[in-house]
Amino acid sequence: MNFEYPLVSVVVPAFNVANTIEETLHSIINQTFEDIEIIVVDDGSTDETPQILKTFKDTRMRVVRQVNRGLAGARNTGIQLSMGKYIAFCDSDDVWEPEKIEMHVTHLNCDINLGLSFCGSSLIDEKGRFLKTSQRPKLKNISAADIFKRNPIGNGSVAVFRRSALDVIAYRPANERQRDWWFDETLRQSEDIDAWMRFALASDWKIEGIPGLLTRYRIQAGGLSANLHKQFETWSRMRDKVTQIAPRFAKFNGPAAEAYQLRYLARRAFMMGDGARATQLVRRAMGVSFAPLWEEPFKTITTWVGSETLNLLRLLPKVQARFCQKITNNL
Amino acid sequence: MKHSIVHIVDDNSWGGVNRLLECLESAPFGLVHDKHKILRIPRGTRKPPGIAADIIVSHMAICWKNIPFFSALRSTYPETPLAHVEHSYSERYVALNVTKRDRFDDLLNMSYALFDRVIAVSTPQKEWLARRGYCQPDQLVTIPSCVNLTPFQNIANRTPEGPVTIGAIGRFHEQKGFDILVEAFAKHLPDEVQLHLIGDGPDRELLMQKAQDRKNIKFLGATSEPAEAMAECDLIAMPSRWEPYGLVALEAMTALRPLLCANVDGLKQHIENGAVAVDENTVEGWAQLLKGLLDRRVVNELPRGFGTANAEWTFIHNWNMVVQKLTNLEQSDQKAA
Repeated sequence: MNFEYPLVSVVVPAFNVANTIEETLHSIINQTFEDIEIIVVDDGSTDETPQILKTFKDTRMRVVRQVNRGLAGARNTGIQLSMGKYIAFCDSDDVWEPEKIEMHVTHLNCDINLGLSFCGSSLIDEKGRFLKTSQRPKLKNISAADIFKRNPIGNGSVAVFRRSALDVIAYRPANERQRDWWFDETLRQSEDIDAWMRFALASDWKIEGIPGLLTRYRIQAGGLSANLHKQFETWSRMRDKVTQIAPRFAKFNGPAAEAYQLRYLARRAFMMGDGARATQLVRRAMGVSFAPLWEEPFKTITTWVGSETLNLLRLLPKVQARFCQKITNNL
Repeated sequence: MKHSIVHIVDDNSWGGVNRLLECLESAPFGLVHDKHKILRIPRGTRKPPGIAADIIVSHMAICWKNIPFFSALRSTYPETPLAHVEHSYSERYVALNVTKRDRFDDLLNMSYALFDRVIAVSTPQKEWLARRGYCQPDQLVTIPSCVNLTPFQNIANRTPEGPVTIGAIGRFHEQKGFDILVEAFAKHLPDEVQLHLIGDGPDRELLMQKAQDRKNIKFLGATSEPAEAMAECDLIAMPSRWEPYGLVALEAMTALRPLLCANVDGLKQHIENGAVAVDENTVEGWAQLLKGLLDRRVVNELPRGFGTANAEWTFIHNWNMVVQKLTNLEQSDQKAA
């Protein structure tokens, strides 16, 4: 019998994901790197998720069920139970390419100062079909400012941490009696970027990406991301936390980061076909800071022009408007 | 044999290092084996002065500007063992202040290579230096800093009656995080609990603005007698953002005042020695904790530090050992030559 700890722990938070969890878990089980443990934290699912989880017989997999604590709470429980030297996260609607873990392990093995390894993502829809766009972030020399502004670690299924490095963001809130928190459980969105920010501002561990789109990130229409106002609110809370940790950093980078966040929301509004909202957001972004305009002129200008055009299209009759929108969407 | 050790300091580190060495000077006769002297170097000096010493110890900040001085020092005294005490840098310092990490790595690697010993001021700092590979393992020693603690040993205990007074001592600077404490007081805490801010610095205006003229937040200014200021406090708070060592923690524990401090850098060592860790170093985190400490009787129940009883002796002993090792090294080198 082998009593050695696995090298990599994979934490999979799962809440009402009967439609997608199978595909996710198969993509983890079929990784080319086999020395892993899989910790699925069923965060109080009320659908068939528990039954589906029972059908998996892989000995490397454990399922823990807890009363609903949210995504952050489920991840924290998983981290608490994990034993690996490296720890990877995969949300239960996303899918990994088979070589993902192998490549991150090589990356982390090669550089002892590397604390967080990440990668780009391709985007898929509910049925698993590839969308035209993808997340291809900056990979080298990632600083706290990069994360604050553009968040290269774009979703919850790309990050692979060295466990000893991840522990620098562990803390025990005053009213928590059971275990530490790594992710902030009081945030219901922006918990990823909040954790990455705290990681970058609390340690000098290196953060670096590897080339390739090793994660498939599922875009859910009408998912969490749809509520733009709320999204900006939680982002602002994250910003307040950053301000307390690093006041000078936040003062210097805050406006640019806010402008990028507003531009991102403008693009979401545009995708949803809300021209008025998109225009409002992109103008507000430019009012806060011109940084996106000179740092990423092409993307900013297309967002701006696209939003303004879509906004003007409201004046046209509906059918023509839809036709024009199709064209702008294809741009 | 009595060796002579010269500590070189620049204007920035003059006051602090002076207090450090007072601790060696004030020790009872015979405990300190060697002769320690301070040599003050004016800022911008390139050429090291004539130094007649068995060991030279630098307390100057490592920065690009000082590199010519350090290399000149090394080449002027190739036979004399050189040591450097790292007062400035820690992991959180780098995380919050250094944007060009590669350049910083080069700076430390290059500078430390000039010294025979690099002296860390706390165990967490040493672990960080070792993990990053800035120095060779046998090059690194830890000597937790210390000052003359006698004034703090003579402070009377607080009576159990009356309102709670919380003290924060240090420079008004982003590093010390007093803005977090002031905001927690101004926003979340009732009037009967007092906050004494002892010190001064560039963030004074900011802190006063955050205090919103609240009567229970008192700015007492910098003092040359921190022990007296501490005697007026029931509890000492250290919401520091980075802290290679944290002398105030040592002083507070010596004065048997409960100490609440952020769980960062060198303060981790004080937490191991009995200070209370504040994991959430935010306005909400501190407010929540302090709300439970509005009664002196509760404050008196808090754990006290126990790591200071031998702090001065340990400090002296550590220095004696380092000197002994470095002089042996010198002799064996000469024999080999």
